[in-house]
Order: sequence, then C-alpha cells, then structure tokens
Amino acid sequence: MKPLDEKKLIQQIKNNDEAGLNRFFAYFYQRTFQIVSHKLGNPLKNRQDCEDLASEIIWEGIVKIQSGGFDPEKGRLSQYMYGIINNSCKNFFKKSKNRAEKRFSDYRHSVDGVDPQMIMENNISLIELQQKAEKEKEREIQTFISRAIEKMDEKYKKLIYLKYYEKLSYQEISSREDIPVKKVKSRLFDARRKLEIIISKMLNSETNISV
Amino acid sequence: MGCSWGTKKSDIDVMIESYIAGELSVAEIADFEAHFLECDDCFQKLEIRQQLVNVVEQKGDTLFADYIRLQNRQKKTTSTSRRLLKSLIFKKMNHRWISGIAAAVLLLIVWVGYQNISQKAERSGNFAPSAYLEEMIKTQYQLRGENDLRIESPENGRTFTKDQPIVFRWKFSENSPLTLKILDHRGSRLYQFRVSDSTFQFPEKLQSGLYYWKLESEKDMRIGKFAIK
Repeated sequence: MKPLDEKKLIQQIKNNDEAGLNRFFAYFYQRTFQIVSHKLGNPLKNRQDCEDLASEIIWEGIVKIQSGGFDPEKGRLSQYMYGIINNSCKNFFKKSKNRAEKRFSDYRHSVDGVDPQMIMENNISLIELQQKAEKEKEREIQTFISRAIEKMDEKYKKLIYLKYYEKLSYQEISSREDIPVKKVKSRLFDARRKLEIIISKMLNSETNISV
Repeated sequence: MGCSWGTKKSDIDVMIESYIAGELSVAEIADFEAHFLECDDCFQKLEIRQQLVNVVEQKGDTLFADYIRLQNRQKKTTSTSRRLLKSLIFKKMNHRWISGIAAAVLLLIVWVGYQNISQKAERSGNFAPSAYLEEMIKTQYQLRGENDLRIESPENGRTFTKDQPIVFRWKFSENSPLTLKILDHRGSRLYQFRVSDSTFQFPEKLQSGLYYWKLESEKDMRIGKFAIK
C-alpha cells in the first residue's frame, strides 16, 4: 500500500470525494478492526461487534475530518484516528446498550455546517462495499495460509500445530519434542516468515493491480 | 519498505507474537498500535499472524488431522501397554493373591461408584478435567532437572468458594518477572498476568468449575489446578 499523502487525503475527504473516502477506509478499516478486536477480546466470537465498532469509528473519523476537527498542522492523522479508536472502545464498554443512538445525536449537535444524517446515508453503502472487499481479502489470506500450512515441511508444520492448535508455550514444545527452546523459536520464526513471504506476494500483487 | 521502529523488544516478530498473545503491558500495546497504524510492514506481518491464529482455530481439526489422530493413537497405545503390563503381573501371581486383589478391586469399584454419584455434577460440567494438563501436573517434576521455581500456594487441587481470595505464592531464585496463566478446565487460557513479586492475588471472580494455572519463567514452568465451588 502506498504511504498516505495526508493533506491530499484530508482535502478529498472534506470534498466528499469517493476515491478519497475509499482510500481512507482501505487504509484505516483493517487497522481499526485489528485494534478493536484486540481490545474487545476474541475476534472470532465478537466479530459482529468488532466490525460494527470499526465501521462506526471510520465514520466518526470522516465526520470529524469533514467538520474541520482534524488539523494536519497539529499532528498526524494516524494519531488522531488512534485517539478516536481508544475513546470509542472505552465508550463501547461504558454504554454499549445505547451506543449507536447516543453517538449519532452527539454529532447532530456538535458538528457545524455538516449534516451527519446525510453523510451517514451517503457513506453507509460505501462502508458496506468496502467491508465486503475486506472480508473477501481475509478469506483469500486464510485460503493461502491453509494451503501453505498443508505444503509446509513436517518440522515446521508440527511446531505450528503445537504452538497455535495445542497452544503450548515454547518451553512445553521444547520438552515435548525434545529440542532446545531456541530451536523451537527459530523454527517457528522461519515457518511464519515463509507464510509472510507467500501472503506478502499475494497482497502486493493485489495492491499493484488495484492502486 | 523497511521498518526502523526502535522498541525495547528489538525483534518485531516477538512484539507481534506478544501482542496477539496478550502479553504486552498497556503502554507497550499503545506504542505498538500507534506504530502499526502508520507502518505497512508491521501491520502486514500482524495481519498475517492474526489470520494464522484464526485459520488454525477454525480449520485446525482438518489441517492437523494427522497429528491429532497420531496423538489419540499414542494415548490409546499407552493405556494398552499399561493393561498388558498388568496382565503379565497377574500371570506371575498365585490364585490367593489374585482373589485378594479382586476383592480389593471390587471394593475400589464400589467406592469409585459412590464418589461418582456424589460428585456427578462436578464431573459433568465445568469440572471435567483436561487429560493433557492432568498428565502434565503428574509429570512436571520428573521432567524438570532444575527446581528454581517453587510453589507455596495454592496447594494443588485446592477448592475455593466463590468469595475466597485466590492467592499465589512462590519462591524463585531469579528476579526476572514471571507469567501467570489461568486456564479453564479444557485448557483454554482465560487470563494472563506478568507478575514480578513472590505473591499475587487473582483479581477476578470465577464461576464454579475446575481451573488450571501455569507459572512460567524463561527456563522453567509450574502447573497446578484449583476448583471453585
């Protein structure tokens, strides 16, 4: 992915430019989802909550940028977004029951000159479309990882099994396989590196096509 | 594009692993999250690692079917070997001994049956023990040569009431921090703490059930269990 040209991106978002909104979403959604799911717990169990909250955060970011809440001279966009993510996660725990309505009404009063209802309606289909694309990408990554594990050398595959399926610590794997802890760590590092190379190639080729 | 981020843990691989495993401090989490919001390299690595964990969790039964089958077979073989050994011992004994042992076994069966009935609720729900962890508890002292990490409390198998504080005390010859993990009766990790003193009071409330704990240092590990009634 290309590094963000923040000033250009901010201007595009303020103009409600679709390419800019897409770029903002593509860059921040997965990162936000990752942080949210880490804070909320197991992403496989709370997936819908994590997705909803990540989408709300992205939407909140867009609304605040469009209303001039972010000043590029005062800090970086990622820092600004990280603040929103943290606050949203705290709010999620505090008032999860009436979160959506309350936050929406907050915008209605706090944002001058921008109708949040209109922005929400305009962007909601865009967000759904992007979410579908992200899920598709995630499925592809998972398929690649499954295939890569299947083809993996036995000595690596066994350690992946013990570490991530049996959930054993390095120490436990070392005792069970009768190999030093250092060796366990280095083999697992190699195994993960192999997976990273395969997936990086896939992601980069996909980025080159779409950007 | 390379990442030049300087961290206390210089190896980004370790950082990602610790982040996913929930082993970082609050400050380290904040640093790392703020970093990967900007760094494509690190985020891509993190994303792949997270997906690896997800794939194994979702498709592990299929992906590792061979290992799972092998492990089940090994367990069966071990129990078969034990049975064979027992039958060989019986052949060498005379009938009087066998009658005595049979009577003892009968008494044992009656006693176990009584225990089963009285503890039926425990065994059927959250009290069903993990065979693997039980085996680890039995063999942990045989496997370890060094005995630098010594547990003082709770005693293995202790039962607490829901309101009773669960306090861990240990003696460790080194000053380095330890990791305390609380697992449920199936062995899934519920909580993890970095502990640096020689005592730690578990701060959460637990439901009735059987729980395991693991106290780990860089070189050593202790495991035990307790129950909540």
